[in-house]
Amino acid sequence: MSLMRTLNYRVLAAAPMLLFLSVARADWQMNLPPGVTEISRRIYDLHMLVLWVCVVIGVIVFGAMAYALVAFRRKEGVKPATWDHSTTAEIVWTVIPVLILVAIAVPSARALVFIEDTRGADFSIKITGYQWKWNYEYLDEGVSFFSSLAEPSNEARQKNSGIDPGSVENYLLEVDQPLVLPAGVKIRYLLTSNDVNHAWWVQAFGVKRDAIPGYINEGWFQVDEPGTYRGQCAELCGKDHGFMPIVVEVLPKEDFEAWLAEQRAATAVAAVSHPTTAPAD
Amino acid sequence: MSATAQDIHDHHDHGPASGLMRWVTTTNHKDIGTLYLVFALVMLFVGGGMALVIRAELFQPGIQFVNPDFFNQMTTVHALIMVFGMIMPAFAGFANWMIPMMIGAPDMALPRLNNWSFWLLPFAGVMLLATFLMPGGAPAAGWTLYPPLSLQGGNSFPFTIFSIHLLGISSIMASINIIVTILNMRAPGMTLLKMPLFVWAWLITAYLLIGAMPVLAGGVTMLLTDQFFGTSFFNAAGGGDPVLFQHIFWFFGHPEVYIIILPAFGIVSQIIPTFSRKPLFGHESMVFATAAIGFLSYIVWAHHMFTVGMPLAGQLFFMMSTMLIAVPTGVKIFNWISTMWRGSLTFETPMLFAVGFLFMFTIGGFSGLMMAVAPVDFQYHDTYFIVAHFHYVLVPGALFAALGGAYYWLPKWTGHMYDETLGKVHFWLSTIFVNLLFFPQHFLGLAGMPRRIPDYAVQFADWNMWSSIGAFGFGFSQLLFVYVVIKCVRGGEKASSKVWDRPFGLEWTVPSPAPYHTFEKAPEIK
Amino acid sequence: MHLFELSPNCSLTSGTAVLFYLSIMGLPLTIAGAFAAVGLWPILPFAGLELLAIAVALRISLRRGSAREVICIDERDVVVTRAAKRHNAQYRFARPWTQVELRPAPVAHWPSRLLLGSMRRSVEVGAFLTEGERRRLWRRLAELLPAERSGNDRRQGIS
Repeated sequence: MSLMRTLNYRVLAAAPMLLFLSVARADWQMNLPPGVTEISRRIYDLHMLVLWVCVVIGVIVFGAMAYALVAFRRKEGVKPATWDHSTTAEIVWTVIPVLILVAIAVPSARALVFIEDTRGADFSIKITGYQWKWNYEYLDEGVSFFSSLAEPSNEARQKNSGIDPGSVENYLLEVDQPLVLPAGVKIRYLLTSNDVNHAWWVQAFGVKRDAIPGYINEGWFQVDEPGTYRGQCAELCGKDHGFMPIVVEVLPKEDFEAWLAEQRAATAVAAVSHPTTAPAD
Repeated sequence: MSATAQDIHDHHDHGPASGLMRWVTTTNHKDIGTLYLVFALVMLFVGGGMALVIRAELFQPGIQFVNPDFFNQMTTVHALIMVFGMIMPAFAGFANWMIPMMIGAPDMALPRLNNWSFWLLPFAGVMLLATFLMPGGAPAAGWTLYPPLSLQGGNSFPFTIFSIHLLGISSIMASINIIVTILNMRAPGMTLLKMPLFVWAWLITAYLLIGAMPVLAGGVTMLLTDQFFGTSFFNAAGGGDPVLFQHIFWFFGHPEVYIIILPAFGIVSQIIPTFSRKPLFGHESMVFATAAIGFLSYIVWAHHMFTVGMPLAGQLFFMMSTMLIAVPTGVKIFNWISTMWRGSLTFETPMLFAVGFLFMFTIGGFSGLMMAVAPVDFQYHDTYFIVAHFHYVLVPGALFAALGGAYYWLPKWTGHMYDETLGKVHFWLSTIFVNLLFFPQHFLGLAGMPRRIPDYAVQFADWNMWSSIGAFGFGFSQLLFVYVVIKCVRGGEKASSKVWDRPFGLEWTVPSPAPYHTFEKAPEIK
Repeated sequence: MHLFELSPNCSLTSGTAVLFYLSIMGLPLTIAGAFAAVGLWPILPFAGLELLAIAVALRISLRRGSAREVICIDERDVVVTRAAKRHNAQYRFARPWTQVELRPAPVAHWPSRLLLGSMRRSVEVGAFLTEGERRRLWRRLAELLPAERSGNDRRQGIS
């Protein structure tokens, strides 16, 4: 696998052969993953619903088109029809799509109401976008830190660095200090930006929201399964827009409490030596 | 006041200016149409070259060719050029050529204004491209120019804004001219409802331009004053609101989307009946559907902004109104299929492009419906899924319609038939590569690849490579089109004025007149 | 006596023009007004400029519609009268010496010209007609004016 990647990276010219080889890499993900939160699963279900609706309509419409293209080719002695309207048909294909749309709109509206309901959150964090890193602040806990692209990725992503991205673990999706959150807790996030617009997106959570200077956006999610989840900035924010990933480490509640206590202690020490938390660069 | 015959100078012998000056000074609608089309074709390659830089960089992970900042300049200027410099001028070219012929008018209503609206374009285009040479480079904040990022632009910023103003003035002038021509220059008997669909599509497009363009002009002007004159329209620190710019931009931007696609609908509606040898199905419902799409385009803009944190009610409204667009669009698709139904179909190159449009635009329509669903859009927004969607409606959608229209009317314009075999080869190459180029981008977006990034995590490598190969194939296939056009202009089998077996519309009856207009009066008895 | 009155095709009357203008005025004004209400007033002047441009364009196009050319052919004379809003001109030619010529455009796709007059002096008529209308007028005039002088030799090159 890694040999394939090395080959892939080095030999630019032999594209057709590489394509053949790259079949072995098994990264041909095609669909939206269901994710790990209630929000993301609802979104996934809706996505699949609309996708199947489109597939069914597509089969009918493309089938009709294909049939017309084949069956109504010009033939010797067959005169084309001359009719050019049918009110009944027009009504039918106006009303049926409206009904289908209503059928989609109802569950969509329900999901939207669910997603936007931030009440009852147990825990709040504040996320601030910077060019080009994230700041995470645990409200009421006095813990706050920056999270930027991990150094191995940063080195490999320099122009003509000579480092094969395939050899870097979690290339472009690794940070120096991840956001750590407790599992099984409804987490409310407040989102803003210090400079330009960013967007905080973790696909597995079904969460994408813009970070806009002067605005505080809010939302929520709840992750039940501990693990490491990755995302990226999703709003063009300048030259390093592609290089400000998001990594969220979800810990069991007790582990999280221990981590938070540790951070609090570290912050207290740091506050003595650096009284402000102004961003570097 | 009367003059005698001695006063007459025979000034008619000068004729038009020759050489280059003919093209600079021309007020003839066909000349100006040609200018628009040639300009659009040149810009297709300029913007396409930028797309190839983007796809070359994305061929594999890691940064090989361009710096991230230059990459952003490429995506930004590619979009601006393709939207304002390529596809809109292309359709303006079709309008100039065909609308007077289709409604039986001798020329456009305001020929000199017509000259001016074209000649603003090259200057605006050159100014936009010249920003690459300025310190700080070309605009790199995306064609959406969202502040505060766009305000970080270098010296090029005011030039970009000025260039957008010029492009906007040009399209406003063109649309005013088109509206006045359609309203005032129709031949007797050519009532509004009898007008061909292409004319209708342009009339509604012109309405959209008139509604949307001042919004863009005002919006970018406010960016300019925020940057240089100390206003705070969009500056949060000064009490402004950066989200308002997004509202402004998309209030312009969504009608703009239909400004691009409605003329494409119009062209397809001309081509399909001709090669089906059957009149367009539901002419009136097509007109109403087009008007409905035009109207809806004004009330759906915020579906581009589902993630900015709108109130729930706003999201619900924009989700519903956006879904509604599927209804009139569906009507159009069904009408086109019905036009072919029980027709007598042949597949010359224009028909191939029209059928290709039908299939692939529908794919773009499906992904559009998916994105209308606000909660799901949270996952699609700003990913390659969006990139795939709008390229499906713009490239195998609008651009295929323009290419089909070019093949359809080339014999009319040049008097020669184009090379049918090469045309078909061009169609099949374009279709295969365009799908290879854009279909995998759906997968990339769903798998989680954000748009506008110069480098990506390695799990996205495979589809990106396919996509890049498709891009180069598609780009080079278009050279074949240039060859076919040049060959057709130079010579070829002579085309009759009817050109096709059974075309519909006034333009095919020229030079023999269709609507009868009588001048001779009964002599007055004195 | 034969009388031809030529006028450009105008499918818009000034009444419908005003109606159209009022209908289209609402669009940019509503939009710009709404934005002005949230503090983004700079859209208003652009909307205003645009409406002004539409008004001027409509006016020019309508005025052009009032142009008239009258060709009066009696036994002795051919009289061409051109009437515009502020400018009238009359040209008189002796009928036996008057020829009508449809001069094809020097550039493909450009409009042809219909010239009426004697050998050295001529006046163009029907510049605002469509190609087909002009050709029909030319055929009719050619019937009325001396055949050998009506430019029949050029007929080949045009139709």
